[in-house]
Amino acid sequence: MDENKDSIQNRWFIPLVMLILVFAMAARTPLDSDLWWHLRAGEATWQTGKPILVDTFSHTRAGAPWINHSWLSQVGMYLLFHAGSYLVLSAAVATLATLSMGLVYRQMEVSPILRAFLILLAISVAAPVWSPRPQLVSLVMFGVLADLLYSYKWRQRDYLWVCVPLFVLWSNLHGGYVLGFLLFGALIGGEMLNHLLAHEGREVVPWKGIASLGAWLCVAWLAVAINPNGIAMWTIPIKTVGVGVLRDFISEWQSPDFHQLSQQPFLWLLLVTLGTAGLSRRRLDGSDLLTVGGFAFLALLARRNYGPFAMVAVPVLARHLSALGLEWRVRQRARLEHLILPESWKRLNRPVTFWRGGTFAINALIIVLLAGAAIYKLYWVTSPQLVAKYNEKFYPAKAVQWIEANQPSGRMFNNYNWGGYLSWNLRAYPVFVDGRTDLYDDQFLREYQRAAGGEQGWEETLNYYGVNLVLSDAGSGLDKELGRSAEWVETYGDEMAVVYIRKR
Amino acid sequence: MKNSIWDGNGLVKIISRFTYLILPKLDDILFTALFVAVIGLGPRLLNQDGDLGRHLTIGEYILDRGIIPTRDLFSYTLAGAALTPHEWLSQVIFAGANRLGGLDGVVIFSALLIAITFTLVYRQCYQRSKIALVSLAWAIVGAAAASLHWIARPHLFTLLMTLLWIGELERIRLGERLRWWVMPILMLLWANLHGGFLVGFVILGIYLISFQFSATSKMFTLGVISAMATLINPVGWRLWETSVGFLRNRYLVGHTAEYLPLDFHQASAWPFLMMIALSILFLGLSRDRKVFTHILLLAAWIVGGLYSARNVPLYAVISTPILAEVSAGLIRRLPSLKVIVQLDERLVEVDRRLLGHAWPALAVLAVALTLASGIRLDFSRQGNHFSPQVFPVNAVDWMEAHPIPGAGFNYFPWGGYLLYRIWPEQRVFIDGQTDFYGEQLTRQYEKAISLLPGWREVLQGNHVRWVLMPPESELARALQTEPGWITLYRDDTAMVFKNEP
Repeated sequence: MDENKDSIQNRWFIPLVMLILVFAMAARTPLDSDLWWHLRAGEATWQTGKPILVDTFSHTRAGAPWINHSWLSQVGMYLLFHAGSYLVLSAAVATLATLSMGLVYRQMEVSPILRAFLILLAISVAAPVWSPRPQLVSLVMFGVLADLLYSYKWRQRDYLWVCVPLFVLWSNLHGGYVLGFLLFGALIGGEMLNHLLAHEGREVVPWKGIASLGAWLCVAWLAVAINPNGIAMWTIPIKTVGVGVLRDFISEWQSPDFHQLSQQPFLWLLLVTLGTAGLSRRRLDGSDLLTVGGFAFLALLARRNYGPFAMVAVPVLARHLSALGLEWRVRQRARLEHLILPESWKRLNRPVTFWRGGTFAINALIIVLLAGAAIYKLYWVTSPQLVAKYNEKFYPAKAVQWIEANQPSGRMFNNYNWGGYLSWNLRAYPVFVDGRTDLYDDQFLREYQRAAGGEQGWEETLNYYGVNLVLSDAGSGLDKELGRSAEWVETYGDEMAVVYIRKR
Repeated sequence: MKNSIWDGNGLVKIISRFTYLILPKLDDILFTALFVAVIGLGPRLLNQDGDLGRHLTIGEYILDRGIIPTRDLFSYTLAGAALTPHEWLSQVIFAGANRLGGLDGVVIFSALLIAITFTLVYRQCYQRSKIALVSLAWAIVGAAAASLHWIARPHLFTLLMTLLWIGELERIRLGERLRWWVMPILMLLWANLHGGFLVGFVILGIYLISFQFSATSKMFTLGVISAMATLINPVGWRLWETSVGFLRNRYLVGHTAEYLPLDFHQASAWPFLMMIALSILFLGLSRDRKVFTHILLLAAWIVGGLYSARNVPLYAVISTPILAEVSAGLIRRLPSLKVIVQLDERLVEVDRRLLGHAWPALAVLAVALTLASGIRLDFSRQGNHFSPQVFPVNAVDWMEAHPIPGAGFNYFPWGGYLLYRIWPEQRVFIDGQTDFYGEQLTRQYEKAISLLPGWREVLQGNHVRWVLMPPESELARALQTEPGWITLYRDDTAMVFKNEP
């Protein structure tokens, strides 16, 4: 009876501890360079009452149609920011990250301790993409879909109809809905592979079930068009991926560089999953194979896919780790029993309680302390002083103050990474470029890149766009060229940024 | 009654014997196909990397004088400093090939080395899988994955040596007759051919992890003897110091192109990706008990390949036989694939009787004669030479015609080419041997090319009188407007500047 009670406590205590830890880890100072243009778009949508579908933030694309696939997330972000500034925004980020990991936790059928350990492994991979961006909402949507498909395949529970509202919502929240289709596709392909390899078992979806998956996939695809951009939303993934220059200078679109410690967890998770699946004698399910293989491929193409990879790999790892552990215990039973007698093991493994209800009290105390620490961290990382300090460290805050104070006239050329920050903080000056890569095409971004590097043709680019004011990072190729040019004069400079004005 | 050769049976036997002599065996077909394919990629082998010129220069020096240089003779920045010639034997072999056939000879030799390596990969695959078609398919996939680093460089020897080394370790693991002399001799050669001999000890370490008393003790003993054999080289223990020291220097490793990770957007990386996917597929689907060492080897070299592009060919060579074994087990178990096994048995039966070993020799001879007659065999029809689009070929022609006195500052990837063209008249500022030039000089070089504060002092401090850089580089752009510097030569690949104080 008591043991049963303890096991029930374990069932809530460990996941709760894990979720609080995820929340604490995800509570960070919001620094993403795209945050501010999302806020600005959200603000404009909220104030005008309709989504912004034409560019109004830049002077290079002013009036051009913009497939704003994240309009609903932007409104949400703006309202949160409006309600409680960085504190509420960061709390929302941490909550979404926790939710995404909680959904992964649900898809594992191993002991709570092992699940919590595997979630920590997933966190180390997915955490770099936890930032105040609609992309994080996509991770949660991805988790919900993965959970639906998990229930369908492994628990034979059919809630596939939920896919329709899910995809309608997703296509209004973020263009990452395409990840959902890939997950759907991997399941359908994997189940077909299972039939091809003559696999049997309850978890193998019958042909009728595969047809049902296909039908829901088609309906979901149609549902994606229910958004202010209409069927243009279908093209957004292709359009975004088609911008080849993305991988030249935006790290999240580049292949992983495992020389950086921060990127190695992906490698370890891939390796552990591969090694465990290889060593365990449990047959690898076709769907597991295609989801892990497919999302590993996507993560090797672009680092921004670490999150979805971690979310699909960890449940597969759990299945094989469990099988491997069982095999090992069976093989080593005699040796283990020789080392520790079963009765002694039972004695050692008994729950420790000092008084009746003591375990519950201790567990509750731990939870309260951890939750308190997580909330304290949230307050600390979002304190205005700390946010201002980080803004000065990563963005040209002082240069912006100088421009506001001196009001130099003319169109501005700016660093790509600062575009969002300038959209929000320097509204009188439309930006040259910002993080909306699907708005700026490949040719424009290459032109920008050459100009920012001070490469041949930089003057023509600045002349063509009528630029009279340059806000560039100190020491860049453009800074060096402008410094040598007789036509430009440096009017402001600090360690982070320089401001040049064209001589009249 | 004696059978006449002209009776029906005799004639059939002669024709049959002749057919066996004419038809090539499967591994001969693979060798010939790979050899011809690599010949087709000849210009890429010469131009993808800047170090070949250095290797040929040092090799020529050794062949001319019979001395292995252990002090620097090639740069003016570190002239006379202790040099570890960890590739001297390869350099001699490449220089020998160059003497025999010029750069065509270098390409033919590299193609030979690659074709031999992957034919041996096929044989190891067959030894483990016993299905020729599967082995052939894996050898081709392995060769495709390794092809991203098919460059005329000493590391090609490391591929071959890795394969032979693993072959010996597998023999010991399986308890076959011990050939105690093979591993030390292999390591002696390897340590003098290429610094990649360390890979052998990493692999040995992995084999030692899965402890089996009899095999492990033999491997350990042979490993110790082999380690001692590596000391037989021109600089003794310093070989280890240089090789390990370089790998421990994060700055240098991070600044050496071949150590950088792969960009999976490039099609050349896809065969490697496909091999990883197939590893997951076959290991996941196989329910046979796997050899722990093999899983460790696979895992370690997948990590290695993802970490640095230069490890991908090693991954291909190491993992291909393992994957062939796993996939063969799976194919045998699946009733739907029984037809492959049956077809293969018939094929192997025929292949066993074939004697057409002349094909590879004829292919090599035909290619050598064709290239010698001036016919270009590469797919791009450029011919086997250093490309003027990659190296400053025309700029150096101009410099030879208009010699500039004094020390020069050169673009790092062109150092080897400059040695090949204008050494000993001119020494270089730096070239591709980063383990020799070290962090301090490499940082100076980086400061100058990136125009970091103090870049002028780097040029002044080294008394640089001329600079050879690509036109789009920051340094070239800066020197065009820098007082005291004049542009002497310019083409699409290179610019030559002279300092006129």
